[in-house]
Amino acid sequence: MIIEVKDLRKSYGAVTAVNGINFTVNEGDLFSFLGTNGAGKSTTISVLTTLLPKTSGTVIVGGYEPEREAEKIRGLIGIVFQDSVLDPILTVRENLEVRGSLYGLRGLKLKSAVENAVKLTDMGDYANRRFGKLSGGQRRRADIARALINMPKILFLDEPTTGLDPKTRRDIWKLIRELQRTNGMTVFLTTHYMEEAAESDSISVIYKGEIKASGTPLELKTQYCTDILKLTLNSGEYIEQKLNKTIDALPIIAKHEGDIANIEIINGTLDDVFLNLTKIESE
Amino acid sequence: MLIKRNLLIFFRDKAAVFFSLLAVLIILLLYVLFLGSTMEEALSSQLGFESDKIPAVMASIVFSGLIAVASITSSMGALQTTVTDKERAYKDFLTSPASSGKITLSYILSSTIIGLIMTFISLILCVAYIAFRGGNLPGFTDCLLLFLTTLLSVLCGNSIVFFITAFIKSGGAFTAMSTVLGTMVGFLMGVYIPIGQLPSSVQWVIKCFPMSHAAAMFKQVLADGELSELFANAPPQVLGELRETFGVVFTYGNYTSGFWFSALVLGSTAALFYGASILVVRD
Repeated sequence: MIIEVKDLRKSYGAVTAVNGINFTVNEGDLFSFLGTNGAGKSTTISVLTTLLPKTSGTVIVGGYEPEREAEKIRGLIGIVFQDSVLDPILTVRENLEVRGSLYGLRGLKLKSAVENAVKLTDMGDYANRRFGKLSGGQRRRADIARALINMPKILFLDEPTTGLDPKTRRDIWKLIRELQRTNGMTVFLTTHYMEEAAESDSISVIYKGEIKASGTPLELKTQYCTDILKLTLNSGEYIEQKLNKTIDALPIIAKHEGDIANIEIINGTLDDVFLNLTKIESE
Repeated sequence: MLIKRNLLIFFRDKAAVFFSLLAVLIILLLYVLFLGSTMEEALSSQLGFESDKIPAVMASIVFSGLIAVASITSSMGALQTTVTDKERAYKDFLTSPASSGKITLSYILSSTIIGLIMTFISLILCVAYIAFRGGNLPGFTDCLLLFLTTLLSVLCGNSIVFFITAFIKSGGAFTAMSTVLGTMVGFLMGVYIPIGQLPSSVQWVIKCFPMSHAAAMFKQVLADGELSELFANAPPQVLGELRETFGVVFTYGNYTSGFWFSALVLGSTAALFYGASILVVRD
């Protein structure tokens, strides 16, 4: 396991943002950390990335504890923040050179790291343009390039595609998956888009500072949502039936065999999982 | 590389460069248009005689103060990056292995470099105008003393602004601070009104404000020669009183400050405020 979180608590005075959460992330996995706004996602990321001290609990990132070995963790991680942190007045390349120098890179090593990040994110010519002049999608690529400057073992992506158009989102997502597959990076993702989380190896859902569920997308869908069978018979009768498992549709279809005008099976999605988990709590 | 980044951010922002020189340009313009003749006439009527040295004396006194003002306002422009970064890029730096001490030092060094460049530009403009009004061009020794004064003035101004900036977290608050300090600093240094014409309590405020010593040092290099020429035939007591009135020297009881005393005040203040800033930033 590359990330281990046990009974993590983080309070700001009387307000508890994260209340005893537990989860693990395997090396090389794409892990999605889902939650509503204010659920505790950003606080958790801030603790994992050494930006905030924890109140209590155990946190291990890449084999190191954030409070005692922050510098070692910082050398292992790359972060794409929710809001861009690069300097608009500098070119992408200049931004990357500055950030590379923070990792002790100099001369040829720095140049090579910059070129590698530019190549991996396929930025081409616009690496020489000022960051502030780029489109939303290009900026996001530049942000990712910045996070890759030290070729991190763990890449934290805090809502990386929020505010982007569907095509750009798809392109960015393709890039992230490629990076994860080809470089064996562990990706820690927070997102509001459930279709992105559906591609994860594992997911944890946080709500009001507590983990509500963890597992693979399939496990969560099996446990927290149902499929729906919709049948229209020749007589015009309409049947809608919730299914615990998709296979449960077979006996119902068999019962009406020869009398069916239309069949539709709607699979449960992670949207349903997320809504069900947060709805239970709201109710 | 961080120093280079801070310099690029400042010098590529044409508005920032322009506004850091604005105070000097406005006063220069006002002085050329009408303030100069008014002040010259006032001095002439106060002295009870006319001399072709009066324009140079008046210009050298006013512009010496102005150069000292420039050394603090240019630091304000340069240190705006630290506040902008707190809102955006700072978390990016903090999650890298670079130490906060290294990051802090980069802000101090880059803002000092910017302060020096902008103050030297102001100095050249002011010396050129003083020469145009009949003043003497500084000789080699004076140039060395001007360099030392500029350096100490920038370091002192920079340390004070850096200390204040350590408590500021938003761009809005920084703008408000810059406006207030930028307006106040000219009065606190006794630039616009001869110190001798102010009430005793106000004179003490000016004498106790460390940056006033920067103005006094510039006056001792640029204006002392002009004053001596103007009062070549007058008793030394008259010249002594005028030096005090125009803030060329400060008296504390029986002690009259000289160039090296003022240099010591500036150097000690810089050391004190940088030390205090490091403690604040570390916390």
